[in-house]
Amino acid sequence: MTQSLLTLSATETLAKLRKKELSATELARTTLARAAAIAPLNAYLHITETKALEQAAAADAAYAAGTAGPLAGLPLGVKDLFCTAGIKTTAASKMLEPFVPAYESTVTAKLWAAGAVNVGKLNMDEFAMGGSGENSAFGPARNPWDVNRVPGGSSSGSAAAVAAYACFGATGSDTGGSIRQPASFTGTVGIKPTYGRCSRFGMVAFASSLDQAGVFARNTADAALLLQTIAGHDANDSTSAPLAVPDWVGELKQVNLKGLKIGLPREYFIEALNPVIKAAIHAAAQRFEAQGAELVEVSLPSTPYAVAAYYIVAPAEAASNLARYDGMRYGLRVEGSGLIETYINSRTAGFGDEVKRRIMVGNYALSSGYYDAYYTKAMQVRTLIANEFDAVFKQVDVLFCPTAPSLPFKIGAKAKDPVSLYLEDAFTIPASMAGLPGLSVPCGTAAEDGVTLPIGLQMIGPRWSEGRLLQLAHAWEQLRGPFQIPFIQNY
Amino acid sequence: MGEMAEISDKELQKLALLSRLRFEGEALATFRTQFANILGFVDQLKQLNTDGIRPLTSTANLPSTPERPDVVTSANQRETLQRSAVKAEHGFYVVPKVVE
Repeated sequence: MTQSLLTLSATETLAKLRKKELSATELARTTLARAAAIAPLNAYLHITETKALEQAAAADAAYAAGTAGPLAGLPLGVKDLFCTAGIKTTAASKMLEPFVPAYESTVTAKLWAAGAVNVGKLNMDEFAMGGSGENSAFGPARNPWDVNRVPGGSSSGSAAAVAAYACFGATGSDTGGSIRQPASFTGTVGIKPTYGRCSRFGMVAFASSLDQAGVFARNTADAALLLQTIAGHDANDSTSAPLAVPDWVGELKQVNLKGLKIGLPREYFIEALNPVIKAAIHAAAQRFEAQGAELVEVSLPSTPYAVAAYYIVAPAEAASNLARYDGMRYGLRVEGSGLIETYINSRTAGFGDEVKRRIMVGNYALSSGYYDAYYTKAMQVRTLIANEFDAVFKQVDVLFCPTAPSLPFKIGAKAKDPVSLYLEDAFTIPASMAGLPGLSVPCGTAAEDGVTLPIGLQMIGPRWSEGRLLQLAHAWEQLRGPFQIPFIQNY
Repeated sequence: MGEMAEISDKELQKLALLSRLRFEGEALATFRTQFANILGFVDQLKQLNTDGIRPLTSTANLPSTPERPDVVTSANQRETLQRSAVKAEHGFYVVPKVVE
């Protein structure tokens, strides 16, 4: 009973709730028990049981009264960088360990207004800085496919909890790949919308010109439902776009593959790409070709420089954003002999190694002697990357490429060499730099060292093309057939 | 990948002070190596010709920022916000003495 309930899709679960075949309270209790049972994965930092049961009771009352919202009673997880009023929000940092926000992020406020139930706050790389989840101050989250491997990052807990059936979907944030790469590593669907599609209000800031909220789900229809709930303009975020949010769920099947031009960017099928992944992506593209789509090899020549440019732009913005953590108004304070020493003590104790590295690199790149050589240069490269995407989207409708160059790797494998970990983001960073939407959908599995691991297909589209990406991912799910993440009782 | 980026201990310590961070002992040695590796990595950008290219600061590319109605809201109240303060008294944040 428990397993058959937890493995339903969000869409199926909501149908059952609507027909009153299932009570939201029963569903919340079952999900909360599952969230507790997967503790060895370290996906949840904080299970919000009281809140979940309150919201579930409200959902049951709303169903009885006929006033239930589109997500009423649906248990979801929240990446711990979305501020939740009255609920601890740490961004997986010791710096914010004592922080209880006074206000709610716009994204989560929209979920609760639609009736969703908050199961808990999810683990992540500290301040979203990382690609493996290992930079969490509260220990790494583990991959449900193999607990010795990383679930990807930075939205490590979101990906792990959804893949472990401990919620029906989760929020994530993506600055350089932090939704798409963990989705690929856990066999889930993850979408990062166009920059400006979702409000950043109440998200702990990392790199403001790149940060964007998105979602994880176990299939594309669920992802569409969650994304259309959280998207939309917000007066509290001046970079959020004043555009109407389409009915992505309703439009999911309105796609014609005949004549669709799919671009395969040469620079994403390089030597560093695991050949098994390369074969899986090509096989998926050929399935679309068999349906009448046209495959076109395209080139985005600046791609090899995107990671380097990102690791100047993102740290520069991070160094500025994280200057607010001074130990004075909120967060951790470690007293010193005076003001400056208190700042230094607090920040040295509160931030982890990767966060410190990025603050230092960022401040270095922004310093007067190096500003033009590093920061201006990186922003110019960003222009090249964006222009090349614009040109390519005059030739093709969408790009298909791998989400990540490798399969989920073992915990600790890349921990000592930051640059080797940075390169894991090589295929997700370019779309982030250009502000484009990207989606990762499972396209197969591969065996490595006796374990089966998922492979993600990334689809990148022009600005505001989330609808098309969701349609194509949905079409792919029909071509691919069912993709079941193993349900494991005890990790 | 170009020559190895060099940063002196003095420069590193100055940067740390300005960043309000401290690196000591083994952590300093590890940090120095990693910092140099990262700079060495990003130095590859020098190979690209970007003469005359406009720097891209944001992809938001919005026609204009819509104005919000000028009305009083109940958000951002001092008492609520100061509930997460490290130390607050009489509605003020308590900080270490700055002026002697």
